[in-house]
Amino acid sequence: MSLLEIDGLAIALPTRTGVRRLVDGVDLRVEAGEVVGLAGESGSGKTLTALSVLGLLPHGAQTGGQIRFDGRDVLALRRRELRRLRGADVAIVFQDPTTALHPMIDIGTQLTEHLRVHRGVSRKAARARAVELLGLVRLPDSAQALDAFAHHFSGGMKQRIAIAIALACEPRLLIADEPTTALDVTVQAGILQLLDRLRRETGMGVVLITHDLAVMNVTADRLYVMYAGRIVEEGATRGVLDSPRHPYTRALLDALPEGDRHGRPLLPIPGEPATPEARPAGCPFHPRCVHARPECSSRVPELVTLAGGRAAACPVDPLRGDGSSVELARHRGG
Amino acid sequence: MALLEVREVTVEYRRPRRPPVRAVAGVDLGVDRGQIVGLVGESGCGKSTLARAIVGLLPCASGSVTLDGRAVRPLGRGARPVADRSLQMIFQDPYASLNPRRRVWRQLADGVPRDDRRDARDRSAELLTAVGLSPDAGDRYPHEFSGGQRQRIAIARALAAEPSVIVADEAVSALDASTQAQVANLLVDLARGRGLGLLFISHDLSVVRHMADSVSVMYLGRIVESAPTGALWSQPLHPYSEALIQAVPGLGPGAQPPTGLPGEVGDPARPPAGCRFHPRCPYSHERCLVEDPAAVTIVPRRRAACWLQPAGGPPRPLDEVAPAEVSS
Repeated sequence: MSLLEIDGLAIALPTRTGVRRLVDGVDLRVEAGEVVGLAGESGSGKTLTALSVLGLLPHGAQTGGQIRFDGRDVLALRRRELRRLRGADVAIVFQDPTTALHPMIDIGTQLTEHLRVHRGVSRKAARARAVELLGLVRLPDSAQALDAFAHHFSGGMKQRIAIAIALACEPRLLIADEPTTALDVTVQAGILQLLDRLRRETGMGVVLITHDLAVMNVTADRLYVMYAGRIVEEGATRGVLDSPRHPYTRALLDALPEGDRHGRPLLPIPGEPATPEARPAGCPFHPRCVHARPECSSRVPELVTLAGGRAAACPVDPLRGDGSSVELARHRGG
Repeated sequence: MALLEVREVTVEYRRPRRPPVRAVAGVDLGVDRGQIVGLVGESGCGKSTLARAIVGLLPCASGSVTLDGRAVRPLGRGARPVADRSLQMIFQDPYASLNPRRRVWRQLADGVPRDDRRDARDRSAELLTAVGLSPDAGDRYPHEFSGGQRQRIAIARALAAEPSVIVADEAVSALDASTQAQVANLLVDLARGRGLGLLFISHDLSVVRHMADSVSVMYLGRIVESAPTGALWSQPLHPYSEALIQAVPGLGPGAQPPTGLPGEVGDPARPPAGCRFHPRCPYSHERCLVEDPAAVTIVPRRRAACWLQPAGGPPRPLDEVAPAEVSS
């Protein structure tokens, strides 16, 4: 049994103009000590998928499928049970550390709050643990930091504090939603090293959400690529990035500025991402896909298991054999 | 002399009952016609302050900004002098830089020089076409567009004034990879096709490396190194440039988690004595603690402000310098 098992997760949100299917049939596994990446453009459903593990979906959201954390069915938990799960077993770090920290409560109180709630630790013991946690995330002068407020710290320090808060109860699963996107590369490097060290030392599982494939490359063991609410490709990070089997993954990689392509135009994906209001019929990526065939517009492709623990949702499978970008580049240039 | 010339510019923020904070402490920069100059640095290093001072949104405490030989005047209450309109700026957030309650064509028409006004509608259709949007997009409102399309509108708005130089502050940073590629390509095409000078400010080193002809690296209010893009990446001469480049995670096989830079960006209100980078520098020696290195030309088109790099060269490759080597 995996630490986290998501099967056929569907999330829909009723709006005035109809029910929007935001996440559609997502299967995902996270083992203890594993960093699992969730990649895709904004609006692909990666954040919603992660939030559903904490029962933090928008009001009125309808869910289908199953989420099992450590064998427990998360979607069936009562409010009180959910509260016990959040912070203690599953913790989350958000993109923007400035809004994640309370501006008027000192750092010490924010750090010790769920220790005291979940673990019933005494004030004094909680404070000692808080100092230890700030040391763990390598915040300088951790003892003084407890009495300081969020605005005293830089963005990178605030994110380290937010991570320390998430780690307070030694969660078994950490969801990191774009944890370094708002930070400078120099600070990002430190946070990525920290996450890597923590999962090694504590055996914590990590779901890392980011659109930055280079960050995935150096951090995630396995990668799920999402498009329009579906998983279109999964596999070991190295394999997926080296030889993607879904045209969307390939296109995402080709759009990135890489050093050796200086001076040549970047290769954007044609068209605009599919919005939940206007999901194309058939394969959601087909209107932007250079390999699309007539049948792609009628049938939604299943995620098909390939060799080596890989899977891709593309029956055409144009990248089988060599996933060379050269041909694709020529395609799109001409 | 470059088309846009920035000379020893300092920018200060005043504070009540305390000495002012010098966010930009003496910066030299030049942008030529058709040239893309990248400006990189961590948040808080003063790059946005510098951008605002260059276009006149903030007054310079000292130094000068000239465009085509004429001094750029700070923006006042009155109309902007016609000559200064050829300097335009694009901001990070296209949601905030467009008026949500006015149709797009009207906002574009605001920037069209007055003698052109009668044809403002046609002119805005032209501008929209130039940035890759459909000409009838002008009849719609900003909320009807995606983030990338809105940034194109913001670029069209800048183009309306027929600028010779555009300052783009984090113009592609908020966009998804694919949209980022589209907007980056558009900016490059405009610079090359129209001979526009582009000062491209970003904390994203990969994009800057891809687009820029030359790059200036900023740390705590100063330019610590400027060099042609290729040369900077293959052999950074300032330890800070080296640290920045090494911190970018790679996409290739075998890429390791990058190394961070110890410490935090210093406080511009109390910059460290000596070289401003010395508290975080792996190569710092005694002289760095007391004496502030000036930016000097090492080889043609390469300048650096580091005691390891002698004026006039030869450049010292940093990988041959032992960390924490104490020379004096």
